[in-house]
Amino acid sequence: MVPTVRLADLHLDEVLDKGGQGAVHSLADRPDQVFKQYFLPTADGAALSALVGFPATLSPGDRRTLLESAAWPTEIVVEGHRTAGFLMQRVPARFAGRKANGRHQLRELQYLLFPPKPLWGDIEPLDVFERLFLARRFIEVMGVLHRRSVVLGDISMRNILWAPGEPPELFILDCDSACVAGTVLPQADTPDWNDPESRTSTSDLDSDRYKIALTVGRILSCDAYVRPGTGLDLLDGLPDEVAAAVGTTFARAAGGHGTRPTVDEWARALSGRASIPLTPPAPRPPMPVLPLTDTDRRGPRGVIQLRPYQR
Amino acid sequence: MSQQILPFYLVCDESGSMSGEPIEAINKALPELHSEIGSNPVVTDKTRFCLIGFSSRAEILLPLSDLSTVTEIPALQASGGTDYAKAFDVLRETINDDVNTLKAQGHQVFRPAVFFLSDGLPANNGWEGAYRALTDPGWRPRPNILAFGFGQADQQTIQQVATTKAFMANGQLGPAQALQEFAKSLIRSIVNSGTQSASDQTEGATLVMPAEVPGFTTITAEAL
Ligand SMILES: Nc1ncnc2c1ncn2[C@@H]1O[C@H](COP(=O)(O)OP(=O)(O)OP(=O)(O)O)[C@@H](O)[C@H]1O
Repeated sequence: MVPTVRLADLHLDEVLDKGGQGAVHSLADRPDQVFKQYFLPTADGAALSALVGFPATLSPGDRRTLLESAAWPTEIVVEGHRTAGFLMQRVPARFAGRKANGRHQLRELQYLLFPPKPLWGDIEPLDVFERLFLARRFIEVMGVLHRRSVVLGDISMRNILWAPGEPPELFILDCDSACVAGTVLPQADTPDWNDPESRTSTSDLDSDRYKIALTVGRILSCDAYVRPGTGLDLLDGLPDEVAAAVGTTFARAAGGHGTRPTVDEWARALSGRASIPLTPPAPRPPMPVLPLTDTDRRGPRGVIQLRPYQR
Repeated sequence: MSQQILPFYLVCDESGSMSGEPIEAINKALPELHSEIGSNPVVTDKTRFCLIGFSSRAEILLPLSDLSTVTEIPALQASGGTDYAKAFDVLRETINDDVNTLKAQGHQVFRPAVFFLSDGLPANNGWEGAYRALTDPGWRPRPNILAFGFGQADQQTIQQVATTKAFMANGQLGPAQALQEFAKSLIRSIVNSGTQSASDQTEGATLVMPAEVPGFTTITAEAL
């Protein structure tokens, strides 16, 4: 049974924000958590339960990686028999900045994709090495999901947050569009972050891989719109090996389903480690088809001495 | 770089009857609008904003701009009568120029959105011709118009001005508060349209309109 709480037992505080699918409430008695309440009463409770149960199936290291860097659903909220929504970690304060007018603003990925403006206040974009670090962290988190065939879905410039620091940190929102088996709600795509090859409105590992390429390519080029198949103009200062590997890996994401770079390939590209091309073993020459003679001429059997039971 | 742009026009009544609380409410909302939109990079990139004030005459107070680069906006100031024809003439002319300029810069321009706000009856009925020119189906950049009426505004007139949606203040909120809600709905519409505008050239842009605005009753637009 996954952790479940009744809506009536929650102390709703204020609505922090609304998205396309639900409202996010702060909770008076749980300062580190928030409640996402779906607008529609049709949420798939089974799929959401699978998401909530997912971290428990991970190794402790992977679990820490996921829960530190994603607003993963951690408790189901029910109202009678209906799934009303779920609880998740509240975005930690360091992932918000202050705009020029003093207002609180989440440090969304979009702030790494445009030249900075005075209106952004204290949201100052990361330098190229910090960006590289962030991209690696993103791949690490995506690795935890993809190695277990969990699709994240709506990866976009608003659902990925970052915090400055040494090292900079990453926090992924909107994880309820992930699917372990089946989906919670129909998948939402963000414009400019859609997989052009995807004909259906559902996500799979391949559409995630396309969006991973968009994320890494866009972070490292500071370009909100670049796509695989067009020139990637990487920021200056990346190690040569990384720049070269990112360039080729990004370009490969333009290929169709089944050919896009995996998280492991991205991890290698971002590590800057040279990869050693391996020559596949030469295939064996085909054997002539001839009748086989019996070779099994068994000699007399030996005897194996066993030690008697010790009492 | 070639971009897809959705232009927004706030056409605001600044006739004498707007003096005091109403005009102050709008003026106070402008910095908020500027900051909310200008500090959102994707929205900034895809939208432009223009402010037109009208009374007995109409004036472009802020030419169509990328709000992130604007550092000041002339304030609205109440005086004079209410001449819709002047407002529609100026609006048509500036939309025409703006769209041509943006296109010449290589942008793809989506149908402009007009937020029209008025508190009174037009001084004369000679505005029909100007309105027809502005909404002429043969004129490609004809805008989508959302009309907001409050104070003494006449519901039927507001319905006629609107092409897509009309809103009438229902007295549940005071004028300052109602206008604050009006400004909020404008901001939300720009932000949501900016984030949801499709990238795919064939998909076009989505003008995300407010479904309802606190203090206002939503009514359908009426054809002239
Ligand atoms: N864990 C969280 N802590 C604090 N605020 C959050 C959290 N998750 C989401 N929010 C806020 O709520 C908003 C909407 O959340 P979310 O993106 O999950 O909703 P959504 O319905 O999936 O929206 P959309 O599909 O439009 O992205 C976010 O933009 C963010 O401002």
